[in-house]
Amino acid sequence: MWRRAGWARSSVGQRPLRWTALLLGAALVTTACAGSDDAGGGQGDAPADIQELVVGYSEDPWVDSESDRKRIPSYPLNADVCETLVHLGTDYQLEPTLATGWEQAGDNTFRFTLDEDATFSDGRPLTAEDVEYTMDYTVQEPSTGFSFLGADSAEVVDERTVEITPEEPNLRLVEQINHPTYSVLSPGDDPLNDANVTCTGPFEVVSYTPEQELVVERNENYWGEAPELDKITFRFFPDDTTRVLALQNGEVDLITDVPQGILATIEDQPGIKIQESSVGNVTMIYVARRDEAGTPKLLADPALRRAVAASIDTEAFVNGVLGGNAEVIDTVSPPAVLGEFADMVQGVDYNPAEAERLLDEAGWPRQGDGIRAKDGRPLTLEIVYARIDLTVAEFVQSQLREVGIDARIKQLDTGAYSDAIDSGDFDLDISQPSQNDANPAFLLALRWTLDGSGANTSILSPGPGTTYQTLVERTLTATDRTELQRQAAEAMHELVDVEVGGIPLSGNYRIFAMKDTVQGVELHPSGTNQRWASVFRTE
Amino acid sequence: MTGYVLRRLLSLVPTWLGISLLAFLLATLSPGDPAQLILNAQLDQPPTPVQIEAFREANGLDDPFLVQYGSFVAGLLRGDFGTSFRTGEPVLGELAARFPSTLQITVPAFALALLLAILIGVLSALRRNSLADHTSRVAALVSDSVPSFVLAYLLIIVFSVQLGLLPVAGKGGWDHLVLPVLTLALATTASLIRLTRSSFLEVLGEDYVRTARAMGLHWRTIVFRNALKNALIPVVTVAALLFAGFVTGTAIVETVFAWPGVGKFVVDSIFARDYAVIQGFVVFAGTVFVVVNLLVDLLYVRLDPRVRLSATGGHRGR
Repeated sequence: MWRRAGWARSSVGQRPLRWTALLLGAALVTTACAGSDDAGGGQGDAPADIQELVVGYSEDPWVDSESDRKRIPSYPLNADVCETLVHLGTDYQLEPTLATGWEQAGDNTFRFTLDEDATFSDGRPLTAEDVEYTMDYTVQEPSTGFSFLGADSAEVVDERTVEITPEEPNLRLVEQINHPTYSVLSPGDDPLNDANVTCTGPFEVVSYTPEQELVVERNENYWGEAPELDKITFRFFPDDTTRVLALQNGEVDLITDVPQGILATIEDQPGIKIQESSVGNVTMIYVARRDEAGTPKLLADPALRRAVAASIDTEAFVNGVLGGNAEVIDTVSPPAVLGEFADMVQGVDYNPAEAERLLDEAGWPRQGDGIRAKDGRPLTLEIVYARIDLTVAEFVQSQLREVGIDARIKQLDTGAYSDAIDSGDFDLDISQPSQNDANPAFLLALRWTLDGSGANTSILSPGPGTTYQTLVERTLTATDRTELQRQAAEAMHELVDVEVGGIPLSGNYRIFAMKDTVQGVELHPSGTNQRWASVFRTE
Repeated sequence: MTGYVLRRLLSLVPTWLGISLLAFLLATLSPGDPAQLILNAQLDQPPTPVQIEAFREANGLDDPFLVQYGSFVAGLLRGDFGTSFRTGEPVLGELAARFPSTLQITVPAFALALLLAILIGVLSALRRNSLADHTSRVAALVSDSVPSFVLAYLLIIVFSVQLGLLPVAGKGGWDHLVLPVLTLALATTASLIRLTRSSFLEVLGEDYVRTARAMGLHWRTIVFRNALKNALIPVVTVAALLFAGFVTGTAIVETVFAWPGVGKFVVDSIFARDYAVIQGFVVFAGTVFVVVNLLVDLLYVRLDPRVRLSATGGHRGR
């Protein structure tokens, strides 16, 4: 699942930024000169008679992945058709949805009480059997998730009560089960073979045409507050620039996930407005300590890791490279998921003089060419990345160069990237992991903890018996959410401030651009948890 | 003639086997273990050594090279191009599902490119060094120099955003075809214009053209009945290969215009190292090129009397 993070765009669709900016700028200028029917808004606040919304989404998220196709229409694009037992709020806290309540009913068992008003779009009431079917379906191949659910994990207690017991100890189940991959289905439905599922959400599927569009309409039997929109068409645009042009053309009403690099070309355009969420993902550097065989790499040395972190001016990165469309961040996950404890993570301050001192003390003096070396070996680090902009890697490279570190950039295709991070064939890995559930220890456990079940975690992990490992393991057994957040913050502090195992570069917002006539968008920082029921259009 | 066609068909067999060998070597010689790669995608987490070993055994990956290649070719002959590990679907089905969409834009684009190339190339040659000639040559140079994605964006900005005449992207009615077809055609017509012009100029300088003029034949008759046919012979060769390139290389245009064709699917597969798709596409694209070459050869027989005589063995009797 972690491999999905930040992979929303096709690399085929990535164009040199200057071309994109130039062309979109030309479009902006000429549009402004020519005027536009939509220019200046001119709309009232009255809802339109027919509430249709056309959304320009990135490429079809289901066509290339069998496991994701099993999640149509809930994940990765969430069309608000199916619902989970609990929902992830925009503040990363849990909200009751199909379940009105939950409790721990045993050492490793959770009991959920279902909302008695909840019904499917065909009017049938939601029952515990539906939840049992969903959990059984979810754990079948192709597999997804790390919740340790098995074929017999869900058990019906009565019509409105269901108990779920993971196959391995997992007290984080409730925080995980809000992920849309656990959306409740109607027994017999199999999105892998037929996208026309019957669910409980405010919309229902009308049609899905691979690589073209997903069309949903209002669920007239919706058990909650009725949605404003009659119909939403999600059109797929693999190319970011085309998606922006489609908005400028008026062909779509709203585009999701506008890349930071091309935001400037449309943000001042009349008739179009920009909306940003709170931080939903973090651009960060994973630091490799050892290779696949366990042999220590250069950055096994804590002084070098700290020197790398101290050499990067994240404020310059956010305000320069990202044009201020993000924020400086110290945590490796969105701060909101840690609640009031986010401030426990301080981050390593930008201090190139300190970085130079650390490198000198570690025995890496500068050579004639400005690059540091030890025993004739130059201080060369390899940066790998796949689905981020080259400018990010180049910024890091230039910052490291300032303190005498020679960084070599390797842009990899997704297959080669996957190989590299599994084998430890890198020093610094730049990527953008997203936080899509309520578990504050999700990323900590997945990437830096031994047996995290993610990539080859021994490459990144501080190792067995370390304070970090102990702290993360403790989060797996916390029963109180506030205490869990505190423990996760403590573990993150250990990782970022003490171990310097991850270096956060920026906290990124999700950015939507839309016509002025589109109202009521509650932008969720997690792309997979977006809801659409509150959206409406004005005349 | 029948013998010539049969000989050409037979010559395709070793060519096609060569293509299949190349496709097979792609996967076997590429870095990384295919078993690990496929299991990574299927399990969404690193597989255990036991899982890898079991997969290798079940899929014959431990078999000797020739056995594996033999199975691969036998599969291809049965229409079994393997299964995409990303989509979990048969590769042939994936390619076949997208191929009609690709043809929808490439066939009209090819026809348009050819038409423009012949019209402008002939006009340019007939009005050599005129304003029209210079203009067409400059236009061809510009068209050749602009990357296809830039051309695509420019066309969208002009015809969709500014004039509001055509949709930006997506698959729908005929109006959705216009911009991708125009992009493909304009991006490739330049080389054909130049070739048509130079070929036509060469033919116009031939003795038989001068003789025809000296005999008092009408200039239009000479141009359209005699010269044009001969001038188009090299154009046919290049155009045919361009068409094969169209069919197999439309990834950028398909991406920009959100057109669900083969090109983008294959490029995404390359990035994901979906070897089954890459292998299948190499065989597919190679087959397209081979078939197009065959058709060109057969067309030559119609167009060029020298080839016709050679193909029918006519020269032996002379």
